[in-house]
Amino acid sequence: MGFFDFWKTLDPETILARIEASTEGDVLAALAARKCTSENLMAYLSPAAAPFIEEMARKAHDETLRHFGRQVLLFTPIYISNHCVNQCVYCGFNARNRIHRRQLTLEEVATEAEAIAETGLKHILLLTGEAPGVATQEYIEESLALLSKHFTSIGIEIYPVDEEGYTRFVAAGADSLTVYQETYNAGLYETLHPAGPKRDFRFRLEAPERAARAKMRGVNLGGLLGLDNWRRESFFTAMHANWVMDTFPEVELGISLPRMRPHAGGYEPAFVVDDANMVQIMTAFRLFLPRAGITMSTRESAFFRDNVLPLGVTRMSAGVHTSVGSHTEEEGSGQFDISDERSVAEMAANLSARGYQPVYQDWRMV
Amino acid sequence: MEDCFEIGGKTLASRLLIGTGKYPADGMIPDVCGASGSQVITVALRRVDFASETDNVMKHIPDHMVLLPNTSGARNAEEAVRIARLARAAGCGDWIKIEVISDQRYLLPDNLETTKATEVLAKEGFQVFPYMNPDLMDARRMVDAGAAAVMPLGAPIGTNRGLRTREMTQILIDEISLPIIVDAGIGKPSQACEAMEMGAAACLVNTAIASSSDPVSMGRAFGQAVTAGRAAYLAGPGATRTLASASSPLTGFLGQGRA
Amino acid sequence: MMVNGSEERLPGVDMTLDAFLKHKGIEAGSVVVERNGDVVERSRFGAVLLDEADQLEILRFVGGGA
Repeated sequence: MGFFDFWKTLDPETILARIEASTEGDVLAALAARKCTSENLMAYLSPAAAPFIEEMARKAHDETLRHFGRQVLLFTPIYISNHCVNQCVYCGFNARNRIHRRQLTLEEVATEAEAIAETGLKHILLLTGEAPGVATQEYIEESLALLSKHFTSIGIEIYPVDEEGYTRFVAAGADSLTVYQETYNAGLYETLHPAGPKRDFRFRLEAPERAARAKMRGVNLGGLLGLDNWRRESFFTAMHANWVMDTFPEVELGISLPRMRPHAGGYEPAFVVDDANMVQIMTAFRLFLPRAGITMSTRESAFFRDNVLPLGVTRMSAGVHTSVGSHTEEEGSGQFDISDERSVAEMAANLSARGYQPVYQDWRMV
Repeated sequence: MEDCFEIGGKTLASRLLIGTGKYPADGMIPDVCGASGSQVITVALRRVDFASETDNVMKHIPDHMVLLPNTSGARNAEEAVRIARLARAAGCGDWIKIEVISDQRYLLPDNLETTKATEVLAKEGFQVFPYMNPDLMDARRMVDAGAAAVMPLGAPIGTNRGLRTREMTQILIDEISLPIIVDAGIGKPSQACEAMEMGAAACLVNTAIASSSDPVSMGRAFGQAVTAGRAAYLAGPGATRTLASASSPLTGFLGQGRA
Repeated sequence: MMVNGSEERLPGVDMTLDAFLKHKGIEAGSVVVERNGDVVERSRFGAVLLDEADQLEILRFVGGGA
């Protein structure tokens, strides 16, 4: 039984109704529970939990200290290609957007990699749009091989491939897969993806388990917050993460909270997710999945990122540019606008000042 | 709503399992069965001793009891499988508790051999109840091998030391989808109650009852304790609120700065 | 033949397992028997003919184990 079969049993209307119907009693019961259940998670994501955010934060802080100490892993994304055949209405790389399409040559990948490696980072995330005919699997594999020379941990955030493809990426040096479902609401998903291979909801949904079977060491999930009701989206994200952990106990699980930001296409998110909502989501995730990593990207401002550090963040990007080749060249068209533009050195100093140790290398394959 | 205990293809009303060992007189067994409310009783298989006139324990086990023969004496999977097949030939059902103990000092079970025996016997249609040293990976293997339940020890056999393996047993209860039956080491009714409050599906108690100065009363107490613990587990704990301290609130930054 | 680890003479020729158990004063319904490594179905006790070279294990349920 794959996650799709489990996902089918979750009725989105019922789930939202149950979340919204949670009472103060339910929230108190969740805070007192020895182990956070799915019901407790619903209470944590409910409107009734809003007055209890400080308590949730305290509990999340304690859990984070015990499981992760005061360490934050730093990494940066490298966009090697923004060619894309999809027309995701919310994304800067939408095929219909008139932006400069660029794909780095392998030589340019190497140059970018060197520049990034100079900053001291050892973890990197390789990104492409979805254009398998241009950014082919071979090209990605070759890029991975180049990155392996400088980085000890390489994640990929690319178009979904089959298990064989992930096996080859693992062999080429990838050790984690980041794939955001964007929204777990299938009906909404269809309207947001009017054209392109990304329309295949199920193929994307099953990417993490294909990667896990291909022996990918880590998997990162998330919903794009703002597309659908964030309470429901977060619940489904947590269910997906929990399912992957149960089914593949050896996989390192991470969750991200990408919150919609302005971009070239100008998509207006249907739901507003304010800072308090983000804190509620983050602490709920930490309490439901005490050992899952939580990534806070540079979509968020420096102010926000710094203040949510104690609440469960375990990975942060730094020195970020979301346009292709921009670690060495002029800024081109990015996938989304960056709010926190601090460099790696600035982030590291900032973390230390706040009593956190920046970690560059978590582990390496020998 | 009725709390039904479904296990090994049967539905039981009691979550207390008892044994037949160490009684001062086997004649007490029917009274202990009655007083405790237990519906499952374990027996061992041994060579008939032609020399002495030993009574047949089966004569003392009431008809309504479900028999759970164990493979005590087995030191490896092969021996356990052999005993299981013999036990089934007695015609009292296809339940079997796998006990593979090659450690005579502490009587600790061998998880690896137990898993091997589970796999063989499950394929032959037995309802397999493996007795094991609580370890999540081993428990998962036993689930995959086809067990009907998993029986982690609370403490070494005969020690009456209670839930020494509490943390590991709790992990099994949390993570394993099969019924978890805490077996061995339960010395007091309060410990059985605690195991049930943790979420165990059932408890198996032998030594604490049989070696008590009044096994029938102790059997009754254990029956009540298991019932109480289960009811408490189903009712769920009351909410206690920890007051957040006022100094340096973690969420004080919300409402400052830009959205 | 060997019975429960001890040497025993077959008490007679053409002796069935059933008859042997009666001879030993054992109720057939209270035991299980393994003959030369194989479990003997109770329904076959009257059909199985014992041999000098047989190794029998005659077992019954007793209190104990854990």
